[in-house]
Amino acid sequence: MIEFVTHNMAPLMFAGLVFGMIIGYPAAFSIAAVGLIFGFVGVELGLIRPDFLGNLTFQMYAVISNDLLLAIPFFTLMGTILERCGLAEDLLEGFGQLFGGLRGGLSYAVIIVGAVLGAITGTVAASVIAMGLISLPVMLKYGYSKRHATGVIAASGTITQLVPPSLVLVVLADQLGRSVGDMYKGAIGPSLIQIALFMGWVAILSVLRPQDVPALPPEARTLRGWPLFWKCTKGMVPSLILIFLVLGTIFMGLATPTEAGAMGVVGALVLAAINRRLTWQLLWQGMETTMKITAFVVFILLGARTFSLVFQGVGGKEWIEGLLTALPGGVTGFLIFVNVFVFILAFFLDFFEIAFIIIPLLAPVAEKLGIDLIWFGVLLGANMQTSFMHPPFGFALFYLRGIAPRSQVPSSDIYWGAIPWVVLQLMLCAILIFWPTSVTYFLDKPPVVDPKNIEIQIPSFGKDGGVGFQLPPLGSGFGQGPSLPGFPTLPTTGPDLSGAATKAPDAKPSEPSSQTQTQDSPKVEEAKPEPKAEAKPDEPKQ
Amino acid sequence: MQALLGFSHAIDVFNRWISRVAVWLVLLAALLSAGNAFFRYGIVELIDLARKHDQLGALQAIIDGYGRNSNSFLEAQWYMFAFTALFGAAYTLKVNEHVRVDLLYGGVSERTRTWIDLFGGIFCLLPFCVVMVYVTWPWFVESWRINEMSTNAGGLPRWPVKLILPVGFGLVLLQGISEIIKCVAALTTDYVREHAYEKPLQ
Repeated sequence: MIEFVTHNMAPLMFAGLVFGMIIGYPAAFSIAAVGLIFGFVGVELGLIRPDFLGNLTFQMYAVISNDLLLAIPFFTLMGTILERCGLAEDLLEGFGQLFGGLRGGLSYAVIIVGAVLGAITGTVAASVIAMGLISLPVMLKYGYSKRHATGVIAASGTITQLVPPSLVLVVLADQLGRSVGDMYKGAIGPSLIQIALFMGWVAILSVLRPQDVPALPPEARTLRGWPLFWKCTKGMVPSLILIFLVLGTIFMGLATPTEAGAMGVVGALVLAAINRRLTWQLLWQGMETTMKITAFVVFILLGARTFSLVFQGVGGKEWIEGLLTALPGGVTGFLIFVNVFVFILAFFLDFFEIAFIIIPLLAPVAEKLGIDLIWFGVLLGANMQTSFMHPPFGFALFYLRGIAPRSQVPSSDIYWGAIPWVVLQLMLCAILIFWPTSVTYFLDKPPVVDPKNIEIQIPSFGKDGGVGFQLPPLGSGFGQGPSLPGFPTLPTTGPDLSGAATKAPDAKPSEPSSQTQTQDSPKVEEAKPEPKAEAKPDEPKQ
Repeated sequence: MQALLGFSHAIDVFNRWISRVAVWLVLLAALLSAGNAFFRYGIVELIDLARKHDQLGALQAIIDGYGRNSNSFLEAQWYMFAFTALFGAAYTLKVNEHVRVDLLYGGVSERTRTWIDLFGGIFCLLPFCVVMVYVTWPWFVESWRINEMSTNAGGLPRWPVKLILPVGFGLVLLQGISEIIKCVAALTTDYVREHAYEKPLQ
């Protein structure tokens, strides 16, 4: 018995995880408990060093001192304010009038506004609620099919997930240990493809089933000429300013994603104030919602860290790796499996649960298979969009149910209406799998490395156990160059030795590399303003 | 039972009060972070401005003050984040918004849910929180004893953010006890739990 347990700790622990989550107690606490129970068993069996609890403290501290996670409250707060600041109204009315004369015009308007809102904010709830409140009544009034109307609104709301600045991508970047900026750049192509797919579907519908997407009658299009222009401007100008404030500053390297989120909060507040929507109640509700989301997200992460610390200690990483690398079909087989797996999990699990519990299990395998983690992350982001859309638990549908009158729109219509859009999103995943260039095209090209100019600076090995340093792939020559910290990761094709070289022979719990960076190390960017400001007193006054 | 429910109520009120601090910190952290970004990239222009106009002595003082303390401000950002999360978690537990997997939970009766919450509270939440308080407290004590400072120049002392870990888990522990009392009350008396399960917002 004991021998069986000793040899099968990882599978048993995984079963414990499934059990702990499925009973329905808040996941943060149940997975932490699973981690602790197996941790103590592991110590008894001599699989884990008894001082793993000390390491746990360190992990907890790494979570709360992670600057990147600050983006979660900021983007959430920004979303809750934008939801009700009147911006979506202006945009939808403007574009609705502009495209109204076309068949499916209101659908195009919803998709475009969904994309614009997506480029401003990072949370789905904000988009779906705002668009559902405004567009759904209009679409139903002018004879759009209920299924199509609810489907297009929910789907366009989820565009937010993929269009930068998306909170999902921030969290995935953190979990995969990649830069948020690169993740955002990688998501540009897929976002455009998705918008094109959605519009294409509306265009097909308007030919095949014109009765579902009628054009607005002329009397419904009250705005023409300058008033229409003014209406569109009134929606677009603040949007563009906000997009610049958040996304522009990230892409230009002016602000970290966290700071961009914070500036977005200020921008949203100013916009709400200009539109005379800024009330104390709105602000307080937004802050309280944000506080609750931040708390539960941090606790899931704390619980997940407790679990994964022990899971890695008992050899869970190797177990998962063994399972997944044995899949037929190599990289493509792995990707298809992962996508189906995540797609199914997303029926039951919240996005944050997938990101914090499941992704850390998959990421090392992906890296070992030589998969570009940016591509992998964007692909997973696209995949997890569907978790908002599939019946009956999709959040987007849930929000829509909350605002659509039950007398007019039965739940079955919302559920059926979502299906074509889920299929479109799955098509997007397939496109991303078989055409990786759609992601990598917008990434900065890796610099050509000339071996003569390489000046090797040895990074500090001690703390992060050599994670930052990789041996060059076997037999690939210098063309691909060694992967040094500070250089963008080059695509590696050969067998990667680093995993084998750094794998600890004993069962000591290792620290995932993404956390070590936050430990008290002085940050380069933080030091920036100091010299300027301090040099000032010495300069002669004019 | 009444006495226990009274105790539970006292915990609820206390944690509600604490959570208000967390709510405020959300906004403060956002404003501070935006201010940090603004100062960092506007500082050259600000210095220029102060140099050209002598009467803007106050501005100069602000710039100098900021320059000396900029790392403190940057660190205050995530201190606030840590406080928000750990001060807010207990209240979030009270209003039943810690996210669950509702595959089973969503489909069973209120009584079964109460049993699940009781079981989870006793076997998951309490042990986790007790262990966490137990392991993080000495960490804080050590930090306090040596008066540990940030390794960044002009940074903040480290002990507050190390204190928040045991305190936050302690608050969640208290709230967990309060919830267990409510579960027992709901199972044995006609007490009705206030916060029925709903889908959490995301």
